[in-house]
Amino acid sequence: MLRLHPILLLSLIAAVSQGGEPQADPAAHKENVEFFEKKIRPVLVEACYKCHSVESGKSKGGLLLDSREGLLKGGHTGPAVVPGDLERSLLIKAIRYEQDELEMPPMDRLSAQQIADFETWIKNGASDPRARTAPPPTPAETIDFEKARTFWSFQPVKEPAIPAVKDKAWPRNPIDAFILAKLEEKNIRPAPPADKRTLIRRATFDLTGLPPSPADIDAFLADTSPQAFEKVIDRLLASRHYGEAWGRHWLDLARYADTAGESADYPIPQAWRYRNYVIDAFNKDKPYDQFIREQIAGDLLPSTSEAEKHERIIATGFVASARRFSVDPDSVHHLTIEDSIDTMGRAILGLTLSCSRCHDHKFDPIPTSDYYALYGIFNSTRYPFPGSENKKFQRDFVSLATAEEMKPVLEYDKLIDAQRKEVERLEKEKKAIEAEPETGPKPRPALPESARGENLVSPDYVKDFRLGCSPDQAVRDVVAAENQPFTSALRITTKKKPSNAWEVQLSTQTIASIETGDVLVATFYARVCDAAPKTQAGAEIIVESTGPNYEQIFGQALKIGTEWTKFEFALLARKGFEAQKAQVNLRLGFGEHTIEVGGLDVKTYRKSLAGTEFVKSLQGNKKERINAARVTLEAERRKLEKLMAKAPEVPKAYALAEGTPQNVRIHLRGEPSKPGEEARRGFLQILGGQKLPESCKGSGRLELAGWLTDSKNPLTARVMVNRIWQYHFGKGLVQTPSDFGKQGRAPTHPELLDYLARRFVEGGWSIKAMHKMMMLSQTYQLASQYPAGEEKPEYAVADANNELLRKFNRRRLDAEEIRDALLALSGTLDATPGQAHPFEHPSKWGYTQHNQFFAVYETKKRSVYVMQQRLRRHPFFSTFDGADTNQTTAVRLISSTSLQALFMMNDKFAHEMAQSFARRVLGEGKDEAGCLSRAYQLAFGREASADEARQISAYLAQTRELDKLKALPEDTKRHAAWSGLARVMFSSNEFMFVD
Amino acid sequence: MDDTTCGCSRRQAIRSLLGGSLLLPAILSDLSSAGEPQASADPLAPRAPHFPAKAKRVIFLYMSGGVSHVDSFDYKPRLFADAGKSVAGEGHKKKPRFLTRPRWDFKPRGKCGTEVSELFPHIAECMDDICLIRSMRTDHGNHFEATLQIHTGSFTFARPSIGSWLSYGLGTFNQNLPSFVVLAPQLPYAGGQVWGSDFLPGCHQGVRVVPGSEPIPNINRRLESEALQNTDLALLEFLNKQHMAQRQNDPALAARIKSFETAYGMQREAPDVFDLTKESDATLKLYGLERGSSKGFAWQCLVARRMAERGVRFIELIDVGASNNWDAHGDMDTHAPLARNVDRPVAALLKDLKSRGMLDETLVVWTTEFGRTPFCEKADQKGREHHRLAFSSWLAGGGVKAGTAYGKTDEYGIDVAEKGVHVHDFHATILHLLGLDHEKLTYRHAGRDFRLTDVHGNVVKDIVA
Repeated sequence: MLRLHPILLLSLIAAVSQGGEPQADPAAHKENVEFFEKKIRPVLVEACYKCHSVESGKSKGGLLLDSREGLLKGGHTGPAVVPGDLERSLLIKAIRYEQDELEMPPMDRLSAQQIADFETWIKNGASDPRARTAPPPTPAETIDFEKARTFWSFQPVKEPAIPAVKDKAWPRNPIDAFILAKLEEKNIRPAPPADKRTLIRRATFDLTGLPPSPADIDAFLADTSPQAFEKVIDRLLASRHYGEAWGRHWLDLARYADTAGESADYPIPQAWRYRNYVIDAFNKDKPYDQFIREQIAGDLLPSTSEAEKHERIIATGFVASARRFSVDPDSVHHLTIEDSIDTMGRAILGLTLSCSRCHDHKFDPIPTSDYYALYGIFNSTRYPFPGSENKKFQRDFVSLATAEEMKPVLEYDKLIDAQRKEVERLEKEKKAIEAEPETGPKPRPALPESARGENLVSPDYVKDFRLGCSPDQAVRDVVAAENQPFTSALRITTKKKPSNAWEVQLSTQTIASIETGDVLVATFYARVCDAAPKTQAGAEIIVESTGPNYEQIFGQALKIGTEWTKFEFALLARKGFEAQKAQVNLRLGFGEHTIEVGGLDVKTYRKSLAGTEFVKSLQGNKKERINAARVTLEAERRKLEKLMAKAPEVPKAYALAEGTPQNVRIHLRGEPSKPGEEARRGFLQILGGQKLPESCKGSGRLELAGWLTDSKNPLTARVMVNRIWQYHFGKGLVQTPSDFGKQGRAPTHPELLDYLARRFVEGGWSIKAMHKMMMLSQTYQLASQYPAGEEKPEYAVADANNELLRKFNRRRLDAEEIRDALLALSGTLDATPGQAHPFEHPSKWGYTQHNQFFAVYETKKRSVYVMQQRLRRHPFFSTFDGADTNQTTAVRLISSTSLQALFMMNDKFAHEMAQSFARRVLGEGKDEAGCLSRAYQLAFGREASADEARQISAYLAQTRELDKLKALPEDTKRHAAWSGLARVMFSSNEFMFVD
Repeated sequence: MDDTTCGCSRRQAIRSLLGGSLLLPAILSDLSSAGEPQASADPLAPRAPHFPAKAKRVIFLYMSGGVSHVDSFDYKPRLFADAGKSVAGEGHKKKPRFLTRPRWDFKPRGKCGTEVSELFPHIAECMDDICLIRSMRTDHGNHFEATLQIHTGSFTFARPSIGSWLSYGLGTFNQNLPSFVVLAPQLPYAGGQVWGSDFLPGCHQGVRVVPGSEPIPNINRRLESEALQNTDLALLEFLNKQHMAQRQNDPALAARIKSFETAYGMQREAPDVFDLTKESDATLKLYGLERGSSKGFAWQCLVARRMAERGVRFIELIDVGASNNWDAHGDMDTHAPLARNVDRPVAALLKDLKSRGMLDETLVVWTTEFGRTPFCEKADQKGREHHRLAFSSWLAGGGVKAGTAYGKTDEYGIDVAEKGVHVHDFHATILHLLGLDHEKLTYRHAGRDFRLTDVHGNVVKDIVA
């Protein structure tokens, strides 16, 4: 006889209704439709149509709820309703608020009754008479790449003709022809050339971030040859300080920081290696394409020496130093990858790629699939883990040691690994105990009398006594103990209210030869002498071996009362306890009291108790065991920390390595929990759309490095020459240097941009060659203003923002230049390169979101070497518009704030610099005039005018006569007055601005 | 409006110092002439809002760590009645949990009758001036993220703080004080990102103020002699004016000259802001502040009022910091001393502003980063955990509907039941109360226009008077 299984029957019905067929029972169907009209439709209209209907024009998540078809088809995550199946109906999940990311309606949750109605309706087959009213809006996945390619920045770099100009004598090189042509179009006459003093100050700050020395100025003034300025440029480009200034520009783009930026801002002591790599790369004039390739995939490039190999590994710090997030950065690694893609896109390509994480780019031809094609590459890469609140230890940093150097390290690493595994095992063990069901305390069987062993410790004998507080806060006395099985006791009285509980520690003399399996029984008597304690006192006994091993054996915390009480602890020497000698330590924690302790006695039982019920009972109840597990775990953790602290130092890099190569699925709406179609790893379609070959065994970074620097890629060279131009001239030809897309600004001189990009690539991507070309132009050497009356009013109309470069843009020094110039002028600059920062040893790190890492390390080195954090910015650089350490900085927005002025007026550093400068100047000049000349030459690169000299002389005279100074010795007075002058000079606009 | 009350301007100071004397007559004439840089060059110059609004400034009271809503402002009789019952099967996504009885009793307060617990007896007296929101909601249940979100709207990436947005949108009245001040004796979660201006110009970032001898960095004159500093500044003025005269009055140079004037003003005015000696005994008593003390929230509140009087645009008060705060996992009783620290001063601030006629144009915001769970893992647990699904915040003054309570949570305070207010909505509403359209207050950065509310936020019109 055939019997239909009821579940099968149900699923048959479900299958029928899913297919949209009329339901078996027309009467029931009619009833269901009525139910729908009464209970369901109004709720849908009220609560859902706003975001999920044709009428509203919105189908969020691809979901329409205004037709039966829409419900059954569902959105990106699957069908909203599966008739008859509550579990598979996402709509139910959403309205029940069962999943974090799927809570609908998002704000006003439906009532319990409404939810129940929906459940009834779906259970009964989800009858729904609504037909589709109009075709649903089609998602805008269609990007017209043909059309997109006509946008200027995606066009191939052209070889523009050098424009003809009327004033043929003016251009020094082709750059000038492009500039002058535009000026002539508008009938603008450019400003005259800058004088030599202005020019050398401009060039020196520009290339080295430091002021020119008086000797450099004199040499340049004395050199009347046509090559005089070129010689200056060559000298500056050869200076190590060049890399420190221009490397800093790149570090801005690389959002360089010495910390990770997650909730506790963990330090990255190895980050400096990447910083110095960048500085060295600029000094070496590393070809820019090579520079990029190394930063994306240096670890995968072939190398000819160990040093070169290490250098290339370090280079990947560009990607590795992406921001970390949350207390557990591993759990939101997709955000770190987003930061990698965003930084790479904006810094190298001038594209805002991260817009495509959640949806196709709204302005540029970058579909979401392109984002995830890149995402797959970074996701197939192993990032170093800097540590975080939840996982305090560094992981996956890349070693820079030679194989020979690594041997002892690897040996030691095994020890650490073993200990780490032990800690992890104990963590699991503790968790397992915690997860056990609660059981009541079991009565402990009595100690079998027959098993009593030798008494090892004399009564009343205490070898050692320690208080867990400073000794002057408590007194100890030996007092007689009446009517007790012991004669004297130790009385401890605290004198001050403790911040935590007091802890008194009593140690026995050494107990010889304890072995695994031994049972120790410790007894003692204790009482609280004063009134009932506000803070409960408690005791626990631990055993400490005298050797390197430290082992907690089961003990228990007990409460001490006001009467003499006997305490008996039975302790089991657990497996792994191998000490030959041990001490029993009794620890008593108590509040503001007097307590007495006496009769400490310890007996050991050699294996005679093994396997007895008594030993089994020592396992204790759950609470005791958790406590024991915790104490053991903490001891093992301390051991691990000690091991780590003593670990041989291996040079390591905060750098990338290959991970598991695989494509990823698109995250719908940017959410990793909503996988869409797979995106094959590859490059942006608008820039060629190369895909990784199927045979590719790696992450794809090596290929990506090639695509980025492919000479056919129109962006990489354009973006970089524009940056070099920007740092020289104050503004880029494209004024949105990290956005060459539609939302960015179009180039003011598109032909010049292409001309420069061409020369850049042709010249082997040499950045130094670009500096020379730009700086040798007439345009660079223009004055920042016209002589009085020569700048016609119509110039400002035709070229309000000096975009045509009729004159040079005056600029304020940036934060680093201000600090470095002060150090240099005061003679206190430590010009040697910086290396690692004095972070605390990692074994001491315990930073959390409640207690974030924060430090300012004083140094007299150049600013590029100052430690920079993410969660809290360095106060100086934050005040003077320094780079954002959290994301790529393309332009420093320079502001003039009162806090900056207050810094110059009142900060200790500003005053110290002024005092040192005064000392220097007074030491270098013969008389007042000589000193003033020296001061002006150093700070401003010129002599003081007669008017200035007169005013300053009056200032110095007046200052010395002010009340506070009048009575001081002549030398002090003189120094004070000159320090004042130095402060004024350092505060002046002439010092702060470069013409 | 202009409520600059600084007694002595930089110009007057120089004049009184030099008094028509020997030195630098050129500066005097320069300074006395109308040589001010154009207002447009100054990013902190006051700007008109998008539309007229009552509130001119904000005092933002931020309780760090997560204040329990069900123990303070969200009265849930059923939570008292059903304490100990398990909430499994209520459709909530967590594992079975036990409802926990609120630690403090509630009663209706004021004419409006809004229920407030005994945790905040003084604030409770002010309910007729307060618009309570009981349906707040945020996106992340961790301190770092939630703290960042209540300040910047974003819970992952650093973005400009709400104070920076207001400074950017409206400028400030008193150039002698920062536009955005953060009174924060301790560092909050997420550190300085909480008041960072991020991509907005640096002048809009919050200036952290701490109690003690130097509340604002470098505000104290380092030189012993005021006369010496004045002589310095006079010479500086001379050098700068001469330099600028040769450079066709470049506004960037003028702006920097101006910055020294305002710094000087700040140096003069700031000590007065922090000088509470002129406050009457009655005022100190109202705030519960001992004379001479700069401890606790009372000091923060009184200084906030003084800053409000002097035209600071956005004043944030951070109660405690990233530790020892409202994060009552262990024991709800730890709320008691924290509440004692803020309750009287906050009530005093409202009363004080009101009696001085300032409450109408000052929007006082009280909030925390998230609520605390109405339930616990164990029936006898004393603390409560983080709870992002529902919490309470309130607004007072500045054009809000006083004496009202908006939104509802469910019977136990687990989830929002009616009229939810997401942090983005909260921000949109605050901007609205200051006359700014949150969709129009934008800044172009990294290829797009950024907003405080990202792509979200609805103004809660029902709470606007």
